[in-house]
Amino acid sequence: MSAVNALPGMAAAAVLSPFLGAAAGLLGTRRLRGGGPPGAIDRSAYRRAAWFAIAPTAVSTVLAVWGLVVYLGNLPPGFTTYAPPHAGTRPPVGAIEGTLSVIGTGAVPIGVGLRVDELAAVIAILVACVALAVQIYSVGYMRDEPRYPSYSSFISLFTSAMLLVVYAGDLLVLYVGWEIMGLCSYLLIGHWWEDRANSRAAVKAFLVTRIGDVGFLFGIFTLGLAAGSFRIQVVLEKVPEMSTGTLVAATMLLLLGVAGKSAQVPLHTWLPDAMAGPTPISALIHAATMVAAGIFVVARLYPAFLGARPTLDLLAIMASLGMLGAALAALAQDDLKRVLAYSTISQLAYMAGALAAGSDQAAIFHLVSHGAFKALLFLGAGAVIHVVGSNLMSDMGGLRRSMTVTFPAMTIGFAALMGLPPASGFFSKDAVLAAIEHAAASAAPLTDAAAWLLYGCALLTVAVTGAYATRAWLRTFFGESRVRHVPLPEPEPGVAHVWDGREAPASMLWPIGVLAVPALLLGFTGIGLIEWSSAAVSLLVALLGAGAVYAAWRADPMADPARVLGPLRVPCERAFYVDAVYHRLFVAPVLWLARVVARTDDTVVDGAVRGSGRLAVDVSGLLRRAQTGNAQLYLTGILAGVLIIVIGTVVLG
Amino acid sequence: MSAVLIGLLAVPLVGAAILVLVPGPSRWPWYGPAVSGVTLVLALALAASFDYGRAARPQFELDRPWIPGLDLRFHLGIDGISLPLVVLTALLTFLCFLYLVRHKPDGDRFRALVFTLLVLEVGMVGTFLALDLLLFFVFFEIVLVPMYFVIAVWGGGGRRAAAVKFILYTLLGSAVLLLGLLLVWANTGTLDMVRLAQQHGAGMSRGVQILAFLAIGLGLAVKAPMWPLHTWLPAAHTEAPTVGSVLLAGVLLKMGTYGFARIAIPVAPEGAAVLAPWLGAFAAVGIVYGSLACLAQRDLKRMIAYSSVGHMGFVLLGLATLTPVGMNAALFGNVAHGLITGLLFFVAGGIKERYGTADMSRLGGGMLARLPYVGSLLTFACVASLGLPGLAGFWGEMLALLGAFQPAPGLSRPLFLVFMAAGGLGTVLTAAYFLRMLSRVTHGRPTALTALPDEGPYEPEETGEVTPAGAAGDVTPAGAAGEVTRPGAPGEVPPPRAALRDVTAYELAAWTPLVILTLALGLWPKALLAVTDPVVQAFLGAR
Amino acid sequence: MIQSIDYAAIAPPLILALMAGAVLLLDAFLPRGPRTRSTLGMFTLAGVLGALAVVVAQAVRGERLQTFCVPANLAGGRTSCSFVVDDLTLVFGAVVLAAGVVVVLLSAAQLADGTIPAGEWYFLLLCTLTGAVTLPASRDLIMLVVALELVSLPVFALTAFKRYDPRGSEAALKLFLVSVISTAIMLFGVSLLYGLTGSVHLDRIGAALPMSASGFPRRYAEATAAIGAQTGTPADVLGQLPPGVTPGVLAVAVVLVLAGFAFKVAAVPFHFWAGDVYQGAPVPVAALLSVISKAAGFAGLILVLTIALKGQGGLWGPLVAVLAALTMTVGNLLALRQRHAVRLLAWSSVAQSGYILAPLGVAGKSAASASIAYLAIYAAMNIGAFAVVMLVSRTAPRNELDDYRGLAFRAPVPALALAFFLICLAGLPPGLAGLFAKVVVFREIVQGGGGWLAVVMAVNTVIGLYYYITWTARLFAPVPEAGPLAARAPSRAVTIAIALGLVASVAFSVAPQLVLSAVG
Repeated sequence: MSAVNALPGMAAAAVLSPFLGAAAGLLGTRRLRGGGPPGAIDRSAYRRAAWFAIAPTAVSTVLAVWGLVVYLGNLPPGFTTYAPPHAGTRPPVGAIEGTLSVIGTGAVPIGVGLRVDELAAVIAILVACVALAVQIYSVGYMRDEPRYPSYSSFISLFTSAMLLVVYAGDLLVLYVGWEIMGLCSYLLIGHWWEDRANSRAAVKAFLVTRIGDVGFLFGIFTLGLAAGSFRIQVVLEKVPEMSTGTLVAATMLLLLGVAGKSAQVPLHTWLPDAMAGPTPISALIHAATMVAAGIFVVARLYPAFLGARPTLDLLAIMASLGMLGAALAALAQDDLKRVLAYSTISQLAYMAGALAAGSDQAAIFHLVSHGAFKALLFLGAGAVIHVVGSNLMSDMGGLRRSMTVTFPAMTIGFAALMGLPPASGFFSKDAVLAAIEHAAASAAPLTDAAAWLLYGCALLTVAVTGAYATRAWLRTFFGESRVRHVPLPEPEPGVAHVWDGREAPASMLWPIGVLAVPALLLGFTGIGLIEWSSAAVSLLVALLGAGAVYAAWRADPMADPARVLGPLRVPCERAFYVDAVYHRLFVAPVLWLARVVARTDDTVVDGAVRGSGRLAVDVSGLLRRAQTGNAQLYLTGILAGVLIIVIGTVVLG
Repeated sequence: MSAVLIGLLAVPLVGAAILVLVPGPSRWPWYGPAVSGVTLVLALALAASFDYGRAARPQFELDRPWIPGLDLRFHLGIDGISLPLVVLTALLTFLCFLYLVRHKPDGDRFRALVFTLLVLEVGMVGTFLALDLLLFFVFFEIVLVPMYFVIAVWGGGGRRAAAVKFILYTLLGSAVLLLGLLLVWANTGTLDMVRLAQQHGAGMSRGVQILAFLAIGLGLAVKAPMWPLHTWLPAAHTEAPTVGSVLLAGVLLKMGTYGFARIAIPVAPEGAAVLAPWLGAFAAVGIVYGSLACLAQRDLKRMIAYSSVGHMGFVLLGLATLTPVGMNAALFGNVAHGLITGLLFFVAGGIKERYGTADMSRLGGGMLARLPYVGSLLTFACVASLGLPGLAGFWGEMLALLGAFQPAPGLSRPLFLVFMAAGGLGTVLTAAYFLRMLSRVTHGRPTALTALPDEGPYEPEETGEVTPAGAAGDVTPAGAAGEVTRPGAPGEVPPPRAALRDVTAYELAAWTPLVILTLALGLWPKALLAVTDPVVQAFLGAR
Repeated sequence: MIQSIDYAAIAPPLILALMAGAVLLLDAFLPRGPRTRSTLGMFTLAGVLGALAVVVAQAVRGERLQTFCVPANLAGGRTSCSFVVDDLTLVFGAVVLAAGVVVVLLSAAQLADGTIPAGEWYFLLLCTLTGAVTLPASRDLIMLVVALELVSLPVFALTAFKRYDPRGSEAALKLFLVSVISTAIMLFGVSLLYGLTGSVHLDRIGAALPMSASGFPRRYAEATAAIGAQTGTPADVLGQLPPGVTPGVLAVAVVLVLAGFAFKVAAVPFHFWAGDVYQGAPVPVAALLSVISKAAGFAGLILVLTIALKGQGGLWGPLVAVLAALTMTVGNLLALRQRHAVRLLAWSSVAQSGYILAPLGVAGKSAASASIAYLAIYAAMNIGAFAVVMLVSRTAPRNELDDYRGLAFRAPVPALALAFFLICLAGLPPGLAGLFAKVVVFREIVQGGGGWLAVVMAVNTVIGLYYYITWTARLFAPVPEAGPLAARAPSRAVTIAIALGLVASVAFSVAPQLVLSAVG
């Protein structure tokens, strides 16, 4: 069993390796001062950075895979990886933990430790693989980018942080990784900071998730103090002893963080804007790291959530709103990346729905398969954008002939997104739908209303998903080419938006091609979960949505099929004006308040200070007026003073 | 070993005296770094020989009567809560001197500045070493006059008013503090901090304890500064020269909160229990208020100053919980804030030196393009300051909130939950203003720089001093050259920023230790928590 | 009846008085020459130093001397002496004489331009010193009044000596008028007190007046009744107040007696004269007024309060506390906006009087010690400040604060000394002497339960700091053009005076124990 005992060390190595890579990338790739003319690309630094980026991530990938193998190889006999989602709680599987040190805080101590269990091992593979694909892809995508070294280092840091979240054995250690991801998302989304819009998007991503993180931290406090420890193992063991109130409070607070990180309603608004970052970053954020963290954490602490029914109800409602709303928004977008972004929100809402419905396995299954096909879709979209020089689908079309690798790969991706067999999405989405159906039928763990709402929304979303996936696929690859065969007048500095009419370079195509494999085949690992009746229903619904769009497209291949939405189109395109409402409700009042505070500070708080100073000066002036130099006045003053004192003493004494 | 404690005070003091008596050393630019370097080495030696196993007890104690008529004893010692601050003080002073080697605020009176800063160091170190209430007070006061001169002589345009406000406000605070200390003395008959802490308030009635805590607390709150007693801070920070801001934020503010942990809470525990909710309330208001005020600031240094109000709010909130975790949080937050805000002010000072202004709208955007290193360091410092886990700023804030989540028995939990929520809101707002600032200043394209400030008798920095001879010319970063456009208005003095250059070697030398320590404490908070926790447990233990 | 006089006891005032006569004679008979002034100055200095030496010798021998005694059997139950040399006398004597040395040194500079007759000047100076040394030793009301007048009267003339300056004579007139009024008031009080107790000796008055806890005079009757009930003696026997006299009379008497001293220390409402007189008088006289004459006033005040009225703490305590609060506040506020150096020092010394009065206001056990300690330290710092002001006034006769701009670059040593004195007066490190002095006073107040007074004083410390620190800052401010100060070489006498002040202030900073152990 020594291999098992080495698991925490392996996990630590997997976490640290990209971290060190990031440090090396930041410190070791600086252009020597004065070397070369300004703005020139230092090729050797660039190559160094690429190695610093790819090698550690590859190490992590190997370690993660090896970790799962070792873990599964030592499972108790008779244990199945995926039990049917409605079969109740799984048999407990021991996690292998390793604690480096315990930090006494004066209250509940913090254990610096990692744990490896089935969940962590699986997700870690997803994270490491997608990160590796993204790193390799970036070499080509960011070819002429002067800030590539810092970019790839931040990706490494991002990977490291996510792996820390995955492997964390202590809630506060988890929180550390959780927050560092927020920072990395800020740095990477704002990578092209010359453009103010990108900068704003980066700030928005950090702030919105931070709002959730505060709640998340408080949730950790609640659980940690109730359990007397922040160690996940202890917390999970103590869950049965905690009162429902504690659990509801804790999970509600945690949910806030989950909503922030996983871009769920009402904290979802940052995700579409996050498209401002380079496309590989979008792939990383949407597929494997940031957004997956939220779902992962709920699964990680699932017993606590199961003990808090109101939280699950709330989660179900959030999921329902999120999946349908985001899918509708995706249907109306013209920007290919924004379509994918809204689809991420929608798909994550599926996972949240599965969690609410009581099946963490379905959620994780979908998380993994979604990770694969969404990464594929984003990287493919990146290749398309790389070639076309625009994000907008109205500038694309007819690309299926020129992009011979990207087109089939993305077709697999879209199929998975729609849930068409045999792509992975079909299986995982069906697992989710089946879980929701069971919840609706058995009234547990959700209340009836929430369960039916969830079920209804889920089915509708399947149809809308079919519609928007078909639309994006058709608009990008079919019909007449709308590509403007002129380079954009002024390419953004470093942005590789230069049309050259050819397929992307090999370093970009390889990750796409490799990712297509799991996107297609990953579903079969969960074939035991399939419930054919619900699968048939969902497939039918998805085809219905796709068929409607196809019909509209056939009628006029140059026009946008989104016109079928009619008057709903504009609200959908604007994502139902949530951003504007938030601005009105929160941003503007806070800024107003800030100005009021600044003014108050100057006039009232400091005014009181200055006022007391001025008062002293004024009184001084008053007293000085008595100092006229007139001896008569002085004498009168003295006599009057003595008289007052005498009278005062006699009367008051 | 107690000779080291004397050395910590004597080295800067003698160094200052030599500067006055011997005319030579002023010509030697390395005099300041040398003297403060020796002090730093002493501090590190102290840290190395400190017995971490008994961190709760004062070590290397030195106890001699000084003024029997006042019961004043020259009683020095060091324990787990003073050691980090002593090292921090010695380090920051050394770094300031290092920075000054090339970045002199004014060539003429450099010798006087070195003298002033050395005297300042005596006061700062002494405050953390003193174990006698009156001695503490004396050292507490020593810093006032040097800091006044640092601001008033080497400061910016509104320096005089700022300096006067600083010294008057803080003196008012220390006068009230003195009353509190004397009240303690009058009731217990001793000025020995160690004994008073062990007595846990014995000898003082509840009323006296409340009064004593109120007076001592008020005095320290001015220094900390606690909302609404903070308004001296923005003015002082904005006008002070870089090294003044660094020491003010890095050390002077700590003296207030250190006093709470060292004196107010252990000596008058019952008073603390009664007044803690108020302290917590002011702290919570300060957190939110400071952050909001930051959102509306235009001046970089002023914004950082207001951010200190918010950060010290976290420290005070930790103290107000009266729990070990809260106290640990406060002490951790102290050190972290010293490192991070010190760095922030260094960088902000460097920016002001280059651009001739710290006004955000005048700075324009695109610093990351114009000055990549400075911009990156600014980003790092801001990210550390907004409490990102993995960097030092996080642990103090997180533990303070944890303390507020479950305050000491006897304190109203719902009330402290509200404070905690306010603190949580504060962390969001803190992130908001820092990122907004970064977005405005470091992001975007480098725009045409607007005219030089025309505020009052502002003396533009001499960039000739800044550029080390021989190194200039080949260090212009990418994109800096040629992008500087000058306003064409006639009669305007062209801004001295043709030589806008990225970080200098001296700046890097002064800033890098802060970056490393911020990272180190952030990644391994146990290094500090393990030192402070025993003391904190001992202070709060008997209750 | 033949009284034996202990000449050892009265040696200090005797030496001063004899020297005063000698100086007058020398002035008359010495041939007029360039060295005459300095010769006279040397003689005066010798006299003051001689008296100081005697005081030090008395202190070292440590025995209590007394003379001019009334035997026990003569009207009263015990021996009462009019002239007593004890710790208090010696401390005051030393302070006064040490300050006297500095004033004599400053005088040398003042007289250097020859417009003032040196003989008269030194004679008057020695007379004042005689009075100031006699006063702390006085233990009866008559002697107190006489000594007080001896301190005051020569000062009128000294003030008026700047004959070419109309401000001088005006100042002298004001000083005279205020002095006369206050003396009159005081004499009225003395006569009342004598009438109430039938004695002029302080200890006998103290014994004759009833002890009262507090709340005089309205609760006087109850208090005496209560004490009487406890001890079993009839109320009127206990008090020895003549029947029919209301207790209010005692209160009036106390207030009126205090008035004379209040004038000397320039306490509110007797402070009006300070600004005009300090400004109008020659700088050495201002220094004399602010230190020597003030010390004498406090000596008398403390003697009367702690010996004659020691049982009446409940009566005068609150009164003094209120006066102290008013005095420090008014003094500081008046100093706040002064632009004239001596005038600023005038008002600041009024404020300092308030601090010195404050411990007496809580009437604690060691209140007098705290006051005296503060006074001694204050004397050192203030006289030092005046010495530097004297130096500057030689080149900048208007003596505005702006004349001090950039002094640190033109005359670094005096400027640093002045900075130190001012920081001391403000009570901040590195001026530890002032800080410790304030700590002593604060401690006494806090211990005596005078919380409000402590707070008032704390606020006043802040106000005071404002003008001290802005003055200090001027010293280091860059000066636009070369000032007029570099013209004249500093006089040696003034330099020595500054050095003396500096040595004393630094000594008190490092070892305030010197003062604290001496007073108690």
